[in-house]
Amino acid sequence: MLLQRFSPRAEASSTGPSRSHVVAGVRAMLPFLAGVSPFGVAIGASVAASGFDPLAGWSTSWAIYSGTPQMMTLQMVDSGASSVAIFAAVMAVNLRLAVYAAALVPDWRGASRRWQIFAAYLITDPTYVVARRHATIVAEPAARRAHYVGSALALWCGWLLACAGGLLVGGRLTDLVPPGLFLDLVLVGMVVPMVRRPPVRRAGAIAAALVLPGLVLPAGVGVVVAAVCGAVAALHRSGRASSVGCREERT
Amino acid sequence: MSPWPLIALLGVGTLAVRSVVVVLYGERDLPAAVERISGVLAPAIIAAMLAGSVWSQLALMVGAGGDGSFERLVAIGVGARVAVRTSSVGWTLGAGVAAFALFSCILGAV
Repeated sequence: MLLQRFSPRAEASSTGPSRSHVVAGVRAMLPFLAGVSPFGVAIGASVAASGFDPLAGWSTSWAIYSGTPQMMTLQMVDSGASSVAIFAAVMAVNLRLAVYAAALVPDWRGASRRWQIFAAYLITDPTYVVARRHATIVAEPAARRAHYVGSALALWCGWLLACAGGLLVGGRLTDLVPPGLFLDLVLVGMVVPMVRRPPVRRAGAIAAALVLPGLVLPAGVGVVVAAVCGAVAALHRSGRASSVGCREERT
Repeated sequence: MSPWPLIALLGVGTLAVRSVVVVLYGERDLPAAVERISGVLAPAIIAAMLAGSVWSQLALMVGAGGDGSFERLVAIGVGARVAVRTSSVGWTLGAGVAAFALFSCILGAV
Protein backbone atom coordinates (compact mmCIF):
# COMPACT_ATOMS: atom_id res chain seq x y z
CA MET A 1 0.00 0.00 0.00
CA LEU A 2 2.80 2.38 0.94
CA LEU A 3 4.70 1.40 -2.16
CA GLN A 4 1.59 2.03 -4.18
CA ARG A 5 1.19 5.47 -2.68
CA PHE A 6 4.74 6.63 -3.25
CA SER A 7 5.93 4.94 -6.42
CA PRO A 8 5.59 6.83 -9.71
CA ARG A 9 3.41 3.99 -10.96
CA ALA A 10 1.02 4.51 -8.08
CA GLU A 11 0.73 8.19 -8.94
CA ALA A 12 -0.61 7.17 -12.32
CA SER A 13 -2.87 4.51 -10.84
CA SER A 14 -4.86 7.15 -9.00
CA THR A 15 -5.99 8.48 -12.38
CA GLY A 16 -7.01 5.00 -13.50
CA PRO A 17 -5.35 2.72 -16.02
CA SER A 18 -3.76 4.94 -18.60
CA ARG A 19 -1.00 5.33 -21.07
CA SER A 20 1.54 5.62 -18.26
CA HIS A 21 0.85 2.04 -17.19
CA VAL A 22 1.32 0.83 -20.73
CA VAL A 23 4.58 2.79 -21.01
CA ALA A 24 5.73 1.39 -17.64
CA GLY A 25 5.02 -2.09 -19.00
CA VAL A 26 7.11 -1.40 -22.10
CA ARG A 27 9.96 -0.14 -19.90
CA ALA A 28 9.78 -3.16 -17.61
CA MET A 29 10.08 -5.48 -20.59
CA LEU A 30 13.17 -3.87 -22.15
CA PRO A 31 15.84 -5.82 -20.18
CA PHE A 32 14.05 -9.08 -20.96
CA LEU A 33 13.81 -8.08 -24.61
CA ALA A 34 17.55 -7.46 -24.70
CA GLY A 35 18.05 -10.97 -23.37
CA VAL A 36 15.70 -12.89 -25.66
CA SER A 37 16.37 -10.94 -28.88
CA PRO A 38 19.61 -12.81 -29.69
CA PHE A 39 17.62 -16.02 -29.55
CA GLY A 40 15.13 -14.53 -32.02
CA VAL A 41 18.03 -13.51 -34.25
CA ALA A 42 19.37 -17.08 -34.03
CA ILE A 43 15.97 -18.47 -35.07
CA GLY A 44 15.86 -16.10 -38.04
CA ALA A 45 19.39 -17.14 -38.96
CA SER A 46 18.38 -20.83 -38.74
CA VAL A 47 15.49 -20.18 -41.12
CA ALA A 48 17.87 -18.46 -43.54
CA ALA A 49 20.34 -21.36 -43.33
CA SER A 50 17.70 -24.09 -43.76
CA GLY A 51 15.71 -24.82 -46.85
CA PHE A 52 12.54 -23.49 -45.18
CA ASP A 53 10.48 -20.89 -47.06
CA PRO A 54 11.70 -17.62 -45.40
CA LEU A 55 8.24 -16.09 -45.03
CA ALA A 56 6.81 -19.32 -43.62
CA GLY A 57 9.77 -19.68 -41.23
CA TRP A 58 9.39 -16.10 -40.00
CA SER A 59 5.64 -16.61 -39.61
CA THR A 60 6.29 -19.13 -36.85
CA SER A 61 7.39 -16.12 -34.77
CA TRP A 62 3.81 -14.80 -34.57
CA ALA A 63 1.92 -18.07 -35.12
CA ILE A 64 3.72 -20.08 -32.40
CA TYR A 65 5.33 -17.08 -30.66
CA SER A 66 7.65 -19.01 -28.37
CA GLY A 67 11.35 -19.52 -29.05
CA THR A 68 11.98 -23.14 -28.17
CA PRO A 69 8.96 -24.57 -30.04
CA GLN A 70 9.86 -22.41 -33.05
CA MET A 71 13.41 -23.76 -33.10
CA MET A 72 12.07 -27.26 -32.54
CA THR A 73 9.66 -26.93 -35.47
CA LEU A 74 12.44 -25.84 -37.81
CA GLN A 75 14.74 -28.67 -36.72
CA MET A 76 12.01 -31.32 -36.93
CA VAL A 77 10.84 -30.14 -40.37
CA ASP A 78 14.48 -30.18 -41.49
CA SER A 79 14.94 -33.75 -40.24
CA GLY A 80 11.75 -34.91 -42.00
CA ALA A 81 9.60 -35.55 -38.89
CA SER A 82 5.87 -36.07 -39.41
CA SER A 83 3.38 -33.25 -38.80
CA VAL A 84 1.81 -35.25 -35.95
CA ALA A 85 5.17 -35.61 -34.17
CA ILE A 86 5.94 -31.90 -34.61
CA PHE A 87 2.49 -30.92 -33.32
CA ALA A 88 2.78 -33.20 -30.27
CA ALA A 89 6.28 -31.92 -29.41
CA VAL A 90 5.29 -28.26 -29.73
CA MET A 91 2.16 -28.71 -27.62
CA ALA A 92 4.17 -30.54 -24.93
CA VAL A 93 6.67 -27.66 -24.71
CA ASN A 94 3.84 -25.14 -24.61
CA LEU A 95 2.05 -26.83 -21.70
CA ARG A 96 3.79 -24.47 -19.29
CA LEU A 97 2.00 -21.52 -20.92
CA ALA A 98 -1.32 -22.89 -19.62
CA VAL A 99 0.18 -22.85 -16.12
CA TYR A 100 1.22 -19.20 -16.55
CA ALA A 101 -2.31 -18.41 -17.77
CA ALA A 102 -3.77 -20.05 -14.66
CA ALA A 103 -1.59 -17.80 -12.49
CA LEU A 104 -2.51 -14.62 -14.39
CA VAL A 105 -6.21 -15.18 -15.07
CA PRO A 106 -7.42 -13.68 -11.74
CA ASP A 107 -5.95 -10.32 -12.86
CA TRP A 108 -7.86 -10.48 -16.11
CA ARG A 109 -11.35 -10.90 -14.70
CA GLY A 110 -13.63 -8.06 -15.65
CA ALA A 111 -12.05 -7.69 -19.09
CA SER A 112 -13.91 -8.89 -22.18
CA ARG A 113 -13.47 -12.48 -23.31
CA ARG A 114 -11.82 -11.23 -26.51
CA TRP A 115 -9.28 -9.26 -24.45
CA GLN A 116 -8.59 -12.28 -22.26
CA ILE A 117 -7.87 -14.49 -25.28
CA PHE A 118 -5.67 -11.78 -26.79
CA ALA A 119 -3.78 -11.56 -23.48
CA ALA A 120 -3.45 -15.34 -23.37
CA TYR A 121 -1.97 -15.36 -26.89
CA LEU A 122 0.76 -12.99 -25.64
CA ILE A 123 1.79 -15.16 -22.67
CA THR A 124 5.45 -16.19 -22.62
CA ASP A 125 7.99 -16.67 -19.82
CA PRO A 126 9.05 -12.97 -19.64
CA THR A 127 5.47 -11.61 -19.83
CA TYR A 128 4.46 -13.89 -16.97
CA VAL A 129 7.41 -12.76 -14.83
CA VAL A 130 6.91 -9.04 -15.54
CA ALA A 131 3.18 -9.36 -14.72
CA ARG A 132 3.85 -11.13 -11.41
CA ARG A 133 6.47 -8.57 -10.38
CA HIS A 134 4.12 -5.72 -11.20
CA ALA A 135 1.33 -7.44 -9.27
CA THR A 136 3.41 -7.18 -6.09
CA ILE A 137 3.37 -3.35 -6.24
CA VAL A 138 0.06 -2.46 -7.91
CA ALA A 139 -3.27 -3.88 -6.75
CA GLU A 140 -5.69 -2.32 -9.22
CA PRO A 141 -6.69 -4.95 -11.83
CA ALA A 142 -7.22 -2.42 -14.64
CA ALA A 143 -3.74 -0.98 -14.06
CA ARG A 144 -2.27 -4.47 -14.06
CA ARG A 145 -3.97 -5.21 -17.36
CA ALA A 146 -2.69 -1.98 -18.95
CA HIS A 147 0.83 -2.79 -17.74
CA TYR A 148 0.51 -6.32 -19.13
CA VAL A 149 -0.55 -5.02 -22.55
CA GLY A 150 2.44 -2.66 -22.67
CA SER A 151 4.99 -5.28 -21.65
CA ALA A 152 3.52 -8.08 -23.77
CA LEU A 153 3.19 -5.99 -26.94
CA ALA A 154 6.74 -4.67 -26.51
CA LEU A 155 8.03 -8.23 -26.37
CA TRP A 156 5.85 -9.34 -29.28
CA CYS A 157 7.05 -6.50 -31.55
CA GLY A 158 10.68 -6.96 -30.48
CA TRP A 159 10.52 -10.72 -31.03
CA LEU A 160 9.10 -10.39 -34.56
CA LEU A 161 11.75 -7.79 -35.41
CA ALA A 162 14.54 -9.96 -33.96
CA CYS A 163 13.45 -12.98 -36.02
CA ALA A 164 13.23 -10.79 -39.15
CA GLY A 165 16.66 -9.33 -38.37
CA GLY A 166 18.15 -12.82 -38.06
CA LEU A 167 16.62 -13.76 -41.39
CA LEU A 168 18.29 -10.75 -43.03
CA VAL A 169 21.76 -10.78 -41.46
CA GLY A 170 22.19 -14.52 -40.91
CA GLY A 171 24.36 -15.81 -38.11
CA ARG A 172 26.85 -12.93 -38.05
CA LEU A 173 25.40 -11.33 -34.90
CA THR A 174 25.29 -14.55 -32.90
CA ASP A 175 28.84 -15.65 -33.73
CA LEU A 176 30.35 -13.68 -30.84
CA VAL A 177 28.21 -14.95 -27.95
CA PRO A 178 26.03 -18.09 -28.09
CA PRO A 179 22.35 -17.06 -28.10
CA GLY A 180 21.59 -19.83 -25.60
CA LEU A 181 23.69 -17.96 -23.03
CA PHE A 182 21.45 -14.89 -23.27
CA LEU A 183 18.44 -17.12 -22.68
CA ASP A 184 20.07 -18.79 -19.67
CA LEU A 185 20.91 -15.41 -18.17
CA VAL A 186 17.35 -14.18 -18.70
CA LEU A 187 16.11 -17.32 -16.92
CA VAL A 188 18.53 -16.64 -14.05
CA GLY A 189 17.33 -13.04 -13.82
CA MET A 190 13.71 -14.24 -13.82
CA VAL A 191 13.97 -17.07 -11.33
CA VAL A 192 16.29 -15.66 -8.64
CA PRO A 193 13.93 -12.95 -7.35
CA MET A 194 11.06 -15.47 -7.37
CA VAL A 195 12.74 -18.07 -5.19
CA ARG A 196 13.03 -15.79 -2.18
CA ARG A 197 9.78 -17.25 -0.75
CA PRO A 198 10.56 -20.60 0.95
CA PRO A 199 7.86 -22.75 -0.76
CA VAL A 200 8.89 -21.43 -4.18
CA ARG A 201 12.56 -22.00 -3.34
CA ARG A 202 11.83 -25.60 -2.34
CA ALA A 203 9.72 -26.20 -5.45
CA GLY A 204 12.45 -24.74 -7.67
CA ALA A 205 15.20 -26.78 -6.03
CA ILE A 206 13.27 -30.05 -6.29
CA ALA A 207 12.27 -29.34 -9.90
CA ALA A 208 15.87 -28.47 -10.79
CA ALA A 209 17.07 -31.79 -9.34
CA LEU A 210 14.31 -33.83 -10.97
CA VAL A 211 14.75 -32.34 -14.41
CA LEU A 212 17.90 -34.45 -14.92
CA PRO A 213 16.07 -37.82 -14.96
CA GLY A 214 13.22 -35.98 -16.71
CA LEU A 215 15.51 -35.28 -19.68
CA VAL A 216 14.79 -38.82 -20.94
CA LEU A 217 11.14 -37.82 -21.49
CA PRO A 218 10.04 -36.15 -24.75
CA ALA A 219 11.13 -32.52 -25.13
CA GLY A 220 9.36 -30.19 -22.73
CA VAL A 221 7.44 -32.90 -20.90
CA GLY A 222 10.33 -33.59 -18.52
CA VAL A 223 10.43 -29.94 -17.45
CA VAL A 224 6.69 -29.86 -16.72
CA VAL A 225 6.76 -33.22 -14.87
CA ALA A 226 9.75 -32.13 -12.76
CA ALA A 227 8.09 -28.81 -11.96
CA VAL A 228 4.78 -30.45 -10.98
CA CYS A 229 6.62 -32.89 -8.67
CA GLY A 230 8.60 -30.00 -7.16
CA ALA A 231 5.51 -27.85 -6.61
CA VAL A 232 3.47 -30.68 -5.06
CA ALA A 233 6.33 -31.73 -2.78
CA ALA A 234 7.01 -28.14 -1.68
CA LEU A 235 3.35 -27.39 -0.96
CA HIS A 236 2.95 -30.70 0.89
CA ARG A 237 5.97 -29.88 3.03
CA SER A 238 4.88 -26.31 3.77
CA GLY A 239 1.38 -27.57 4.60
CA ARG A 240 2.87 -30.11 7.01
CA ALA A 241 5.19 -27.49 8.55
CA SER A 242 2.28 -25.09 9.13
CA SER A 243 0.13 -27.82 10.68
CA VAL A 244 3.04 -28.79 12.98
CA GLY A 245 3.40 -25.08 13.85
CA CYS A 246 -0.32 -24.89 14.73
CA ARG A 247 -0.04 -28.00 16.92
CA GLU A 248 3.00 -26.55 18.73
CA GLU A 249 1.17 -23.26 19.29
CA ARG A 250 -1.80 -25.13 20.75
CA THR A 251 0.43 -27.09 23.17
CA MET B 1 4.82 -29.84 -49.56
CA SER B 2 3.67 -26.38 -48.45
CA PRO B 3 4.63 -25.56 -44.82
CA TRP B 4 1.60 -23.28 -44.33
CA PRO B 5 -0.96 -25.90 -43.16
CA LEU B 6 1.52 -27.08 -40.50
CA ILE B 7 2.20 -23.51 -39.33
CA ALA B 8 -1.54 -22.80 -39.18
CA LEU B 9 -2.12 -25.99 -37.18
CA LEU B 10 0.70 -25.13 -34.75
CA GLY B 11 -0.61 -21.58 -34.37
CA VAL B 12 -4.15 -22.72 -33.59
CA GLY B 13 -2.90 -25.46 -31.22
CA THR B 14 -0.62 -23.06 -29.36
CA LEU B 15 -3.41 -20.49 -28.98
CA ALA B 16 -5.69 -23.26 -27.68
CA VAL B 17 -3.12 -24.31 -25.05
CA ARG B 18 -2.58 -20.69 -24.00
CA SER B 19 -6.26 -19.81 -23.77
CA VAL B 20 -7.86 -23.00 -22.42
CA VAL B 21 -7.66 -21.78 -18.82
CA VAL B 22 -9.01 -18.36 -19.80
CA VAL B 23 -11.97 -19.89 -21.64
CA LEU B 24 -12.79 -22.24 -18.75
CA TYR B 25 -12.05 -19.94 -15.81
CA GLY B 26 -12.02 -16.40 -17.24
CA GLU B 27 -14.99 -15.29 -15.14
CA ARG B 28 -15.04 -17.70 -12.22
CA ASP B 29 -12.61 -18.79 -9.54
CA LEU B 30 -10.05 -21.47 -10.26
CA PRO B 31 -10.33 -24.60 -8.10
CA ALA B 32 -8.51 -23.86 -4.82
CA ALA B 33 -5.91 -26.57 -5.43
CA VAL B 34 -5.08 -25.21 -8.90
CA GLU B 35 -4.85 -21.65 -7.59
CA ARG B 36 -2.56 -22.77 -4.77
CA ILE B 37 -0.25 -24.77 -6.99
CA SER B 38 -0.08 -22.38 -9.96
CA GLY B 39 1.73 -19.72 -7.90
CA VAL B 40 4.50 -22.20 -7.10
CA LEU B 41 4.43 -24.24 -10.29
CA ALA B 42 5.25 -21.44 -12.71
CA PRO B 43 8.54 -20.45 -10.99
CA ALA B 44 9.35 -24.17 -10.65
CA ILE B 45 8.99 -24.53 -14.44
CA ILE B 46 11.42 -21.66 -15.03
CA ALA B 47 13.86 -23.17 -12.50
CA ALA B 48 13.57 -26.55 -14.25
CA MET B 49 14.20 -24.99 -17.67
CA LEU B 50 17.34 -23.28 -16.36
CA ALA B 51 18.51 -26.45 -14.61
CA GLY B 52 17.98 -28.46 -17.81
CA SER B 53 20.26 -26.06 -19.65
CA VAL B 54 22.91 -26.17 -16.88
CA TRP B 55 22.82 -29.99 -16.80
CA SER B 56 23.28 -30.06 -20.59
CA GLN B 57 26.28 -27.72 -20.38
CA LEU B 58 27.79 -29.83 -17.60
CA ALA B 59 27.28 -32.99 -19.65
CA LEU B 60 28.91 -31.33 -22.66
CA MET B 61 31.85 -30.13 -20.58
CA VAL B 62 32.47 -33.47 -18.88
CA GLY B 63 31.63 -35.74 -21.82
CA ALA B 64 32.84 -34.05 -24.95
CA GLY B 65 34.96 -31.20 -23.52
CA GLY B 66 32.32 -28.94 -25.08
CA ASP B 67 33.61 -25.72 -26.60
CA GLY B 68 32.51 -22.76 -24.50
CA SER B 69 30.61 -24.82 -21.92
CA PHE B 70 32.92 -23.87 -19.05
CA GLU B 71 32.77 -20.17 -19.91
CA ARG B 72 29.00 -20.44 -20.19
CA LEU B 73 28.67 -22.07 -16.78
CA VAL B 74 30.92 -19.41 -15.23
CA ALA B 75 28.76 -16.72 -16.86
CA ILE B 76 25.60 -18.31 -15.43
CA GLY B 77 27.24 -18.45 -11.97
CA VAL B 78 28.28 -14.79 -12.14
CA GLY B 79 24.82 -13.86 -13.44
CA ALA B 80 23.16 -15.71 -10.54
CA ARG B 81 25.35 -13.89 -8.01
CA VAL B 82 24.44 -10.53 -9.55
CA ALA B 83 20.74 -11.50 -9.72
CA VAL B 84 20.77 -12.29 -5.98
CA ARG B 85 22.22 -8.87 -5.21
CA THR B 86 20.27 -6.73 -7.69
CA SER B 87 17.12 -8.69 -8.77
CA SER B 88 17.67 -7.02 -12.15
CA VAL B 89 17.60 -8.87 -15.45
CA GLY B 90 19.60 -6.09 -17.09
CA TRP B 91 22.50 -6.30 -14.62
CA THR B 92 22.35 -10.10 -14.71
CA LEU B 93 22.69 -10.07 -18.48
CA GLY B 94 25.47 -7.50 -18.48
CA ALA B 95 27.52 -9.26 -15.81
CA GLY B 96 27.01 -12.70 -17.37
CA VAL B 97 28.01 -11.63 -20.86
CA ALA B 98 31.02 -9.72 -19.50
CA ALA B 99 32.12 -12.81 -17.55
CA PHE B 100 31.70 -14.97 -20.66
CA ALA B 101 33.77 -12.57 -22.77
CA LEU B 102 36.46 -12.29 -20.10
CA PHE B 103 36.81 -16.05 -19.59
CA SER B 104 36.75 -16.68 -23.35
CA CYS B 105 39.66 -14.25 -23.75
CA ILE B 106 41.61 -15.78 -20.85
CA LEU B 107 41.09 -19.37 -21.99
CA GLY B 108 41.76 -18.38 -25.61
CA ALA B 109 45.08 -16.82 -24.58
CA VAL B 110 46.03 -19.96 -22.60
